[in-house]
Amino acid sequence: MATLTINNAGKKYGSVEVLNDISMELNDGELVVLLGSSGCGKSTLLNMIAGLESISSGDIRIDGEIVNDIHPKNRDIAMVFQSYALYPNMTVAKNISFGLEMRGVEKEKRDELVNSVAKMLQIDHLLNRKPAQLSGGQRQRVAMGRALVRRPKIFLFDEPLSNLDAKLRVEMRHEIKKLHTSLKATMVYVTHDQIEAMTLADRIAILKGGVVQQFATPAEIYSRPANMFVAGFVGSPSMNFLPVTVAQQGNEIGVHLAVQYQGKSENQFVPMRNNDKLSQLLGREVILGIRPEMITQLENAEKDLATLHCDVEVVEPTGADTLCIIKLAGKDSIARVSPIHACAPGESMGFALDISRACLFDPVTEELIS
Amino acid sequence: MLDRLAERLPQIVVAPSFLLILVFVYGFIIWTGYVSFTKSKMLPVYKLDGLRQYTRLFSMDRWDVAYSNLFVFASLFIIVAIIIGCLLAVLLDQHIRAEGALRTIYLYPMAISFIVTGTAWKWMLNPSLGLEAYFQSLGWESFSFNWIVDKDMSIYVVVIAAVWQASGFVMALFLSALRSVDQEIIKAAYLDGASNTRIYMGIILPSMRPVFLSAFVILSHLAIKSFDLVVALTGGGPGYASTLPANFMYEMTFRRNQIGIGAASAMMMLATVAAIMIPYLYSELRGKKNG
Amino acid sequence: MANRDRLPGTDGKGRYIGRFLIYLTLAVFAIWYLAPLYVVVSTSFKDLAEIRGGALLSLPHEFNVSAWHKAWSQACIGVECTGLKPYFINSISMSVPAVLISTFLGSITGYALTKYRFRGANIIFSLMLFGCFIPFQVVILPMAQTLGMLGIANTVNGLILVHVVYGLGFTTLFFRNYYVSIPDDLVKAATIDGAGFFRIYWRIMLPLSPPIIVVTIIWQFTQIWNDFLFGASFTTGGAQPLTVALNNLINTTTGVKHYNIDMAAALIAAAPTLFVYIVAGRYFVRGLTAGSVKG
Repeated sequence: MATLTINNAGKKYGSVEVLNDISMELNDGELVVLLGSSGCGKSTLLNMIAGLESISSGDIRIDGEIVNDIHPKNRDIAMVFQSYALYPNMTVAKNISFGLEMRGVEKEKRDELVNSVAKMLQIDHLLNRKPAQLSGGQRQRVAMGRALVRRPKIFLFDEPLSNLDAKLRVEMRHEIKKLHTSLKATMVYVTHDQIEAMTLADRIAILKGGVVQQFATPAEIYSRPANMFVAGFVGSPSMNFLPVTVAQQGNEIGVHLAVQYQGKSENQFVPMRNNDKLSQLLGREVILGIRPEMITQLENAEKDLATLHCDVEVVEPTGADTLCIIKLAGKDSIARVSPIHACAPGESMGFALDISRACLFDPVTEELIS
Repeated sequence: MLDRLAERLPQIVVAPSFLLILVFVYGFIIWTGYVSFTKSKMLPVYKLDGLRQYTRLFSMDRWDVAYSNLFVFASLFIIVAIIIGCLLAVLLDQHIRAEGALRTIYLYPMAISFIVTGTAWKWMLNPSLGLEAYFQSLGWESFSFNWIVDKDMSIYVVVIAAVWQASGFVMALFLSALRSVDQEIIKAAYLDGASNTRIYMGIILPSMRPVFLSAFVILSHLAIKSFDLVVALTGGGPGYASTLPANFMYEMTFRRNQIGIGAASAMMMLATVAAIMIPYLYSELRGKKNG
Repeated sequence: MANRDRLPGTDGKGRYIGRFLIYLTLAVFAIWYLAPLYVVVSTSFKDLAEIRGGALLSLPHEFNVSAWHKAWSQACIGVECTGLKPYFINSISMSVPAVLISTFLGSITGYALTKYRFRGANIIFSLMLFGCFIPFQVVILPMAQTLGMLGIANTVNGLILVHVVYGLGFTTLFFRNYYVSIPDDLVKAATIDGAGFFRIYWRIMLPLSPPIIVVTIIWQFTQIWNDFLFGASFTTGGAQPLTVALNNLINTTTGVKHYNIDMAAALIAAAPTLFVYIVAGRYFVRGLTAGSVKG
């Protein structure tokens, strides 16, 4: 069990800066997900933690000890690769025990450890097979077994599920979560899949262009995204971004929303309550970030929510919910309604806006306001 | 400390091979280049003597013959081998029953040495006991095929034997390329109503430009290096009518104690190869990096 | 276009004529490729009188193996009438170590160049690659001097050195191209598992290499066995490899020409590589095409 500390770590290839001033601290037993699209530097960071890439500036510590110049094998880490990287020439048992063998663990002890890990991962019947004879899910389990058997201080996962089909991916996600709960090990998990990140992580670090955009718990990232990139990256369907101006009507402060209603364009005022700082923004242009589930049908909605009526352009049933595409502030926006209340495309219906949970962003810096 | 050494291991391991190449290829090229500017005869001397060896070289009829032979030989050899190889590959690609056996037959000459090839063809083309005598004995009195002893034609005999040896290789190259052409393109062309011939001429062969290039480069490389085939087949004769630069170089260096001229001719060969290989290798290595 | 099902609408009368022409062309070429082999084999079993009779293309009246026997153990090469046997042994004791050493060096160099992309690795590889394609005439002179200096001129050991050095470029190329296709993640995983440079090579890379090892060994063996230039330039007399001895035998101008012995000798010289080709043709072809697709 261990802590992992990254202090101002940077990585350059020649003059190209891949990672810039990354700092984060992982508590013992924490699972942190590095989330970002391809090329954001998340895998590079993972490789730097593993020791597979050198560190250009700053330092990385495991249990307080700087490991910048320590060989990967001496860092006491294990890694699960996206390609699994199973040794094709070795049986499953050999694959799992290779790391132990390299560390001089005796044969009997090795067999014992391999067997117990294989049992835990339900691959004990596959021990004499070669990787080529395994299915994708089985290979994934072997790769996990190879990491688990050594009981390392830190586990690193490099997009371990992205080569699996959708159903298996969900299954293995649950496995990993269970493992983490039972092992209470420190883990760093790289993925581009926000659902994986949300479901697995204790905390998520979102990276873009080699910079950490936000490092926080899934709940916080979802409800208080630090900027529009984070807000748009997490959540599916994405958050709606509506350019609006803060205005006052009567004694209420809120925003004007242009909507299409019965073929005509009209402006509806949406008051924003529970927001004391709003008065400072009066007259300013802001981006209103509102998630699809915050725009829902009028029926059964809480009483004090703002309401608006507008035409529905497209209707997309997803099963549990139905997505309605409506024009808000000139943008195609998504509302999430219950299937029984959804109207047909072209018709208009009333929506309730849970605007108190919406976020406001600065249109220039794209940062969260307040 | 040990970690540091471990980090250097790859370089340490590559070093011996690289040093061998550096010395035995590049060092030796420089050495030969240097000697080509000296008066060296039987033994190398190291006093520079300007371009004299090159002027002597270019004034020798023997070199003239050898160098122009190289162009006749290389162009004919490359063109004919590519045509035959390409034809055979396309024909073999038509669901041929005995494809495996035919492929084996077409390619086997590539496994044997040029000396053996030369020996075999020399015997076949021997005017008094070979094919010529055979057809005459069958009653075809006027049959004549004595190129091997005809000083104007003997270089073409070398072409025939070289094509015999290498065309199967071109076939193998093209066949494997044909087999990796995207099947969907062919299906699309077929649905568009293109005939088989059109599909080959219009779509498949043009898409194989890189293979043509590879074949060209390898064959020209083979042609410039050709030495043993001439030795075994014609001995460079009659006279020196069928010598190639490689034979010229050997003759000068080891038989006539004209090391300086030998070195100059070797440098000329290197320049010829480099003119073809450097652009090719450069584009290949670069293409890989960008791709 | 292999294994394409016959497409509808391509049947008909013209089709049969077309098929016939295809098979005819292929057969004519097969005859052309086989003719020299047939002539050489049949001549080697004839006696001199029959050969002088001029029936080049006819089968021998009776199979006479004496020419083979003489070519192997009695024919005169230069002034020594030992047959090809000692030269055959020379060629074996030259090829086997040269093939093994150059294959091993190529393999470990290719591994280091692909899996540890240190600074300059690409330049090193480019220089090694170009080394494959120089005309060897340009190194013969200094090589002869160097062999003399090392005291291995005119020896089989000298030829081993020459073939190792000038085979290195190709063997490295083969292994490099093969190792490029092995995922780097394997090396990373093994590094984290605690294996070092040599252990990864020995335990992971080598066990994955048999196909390319076979290709390389066949390629190198064919090249080295069939070499004539180096053999002719650096050896005389008893140290000559088989190709050089064969050429001397055939180009001897004194005495009666024993064509049957010449042909048997040529077949003896060709036998080992032909054998390899027939047994492992698939790998042989792969080597040829691998040598052509660079980078």
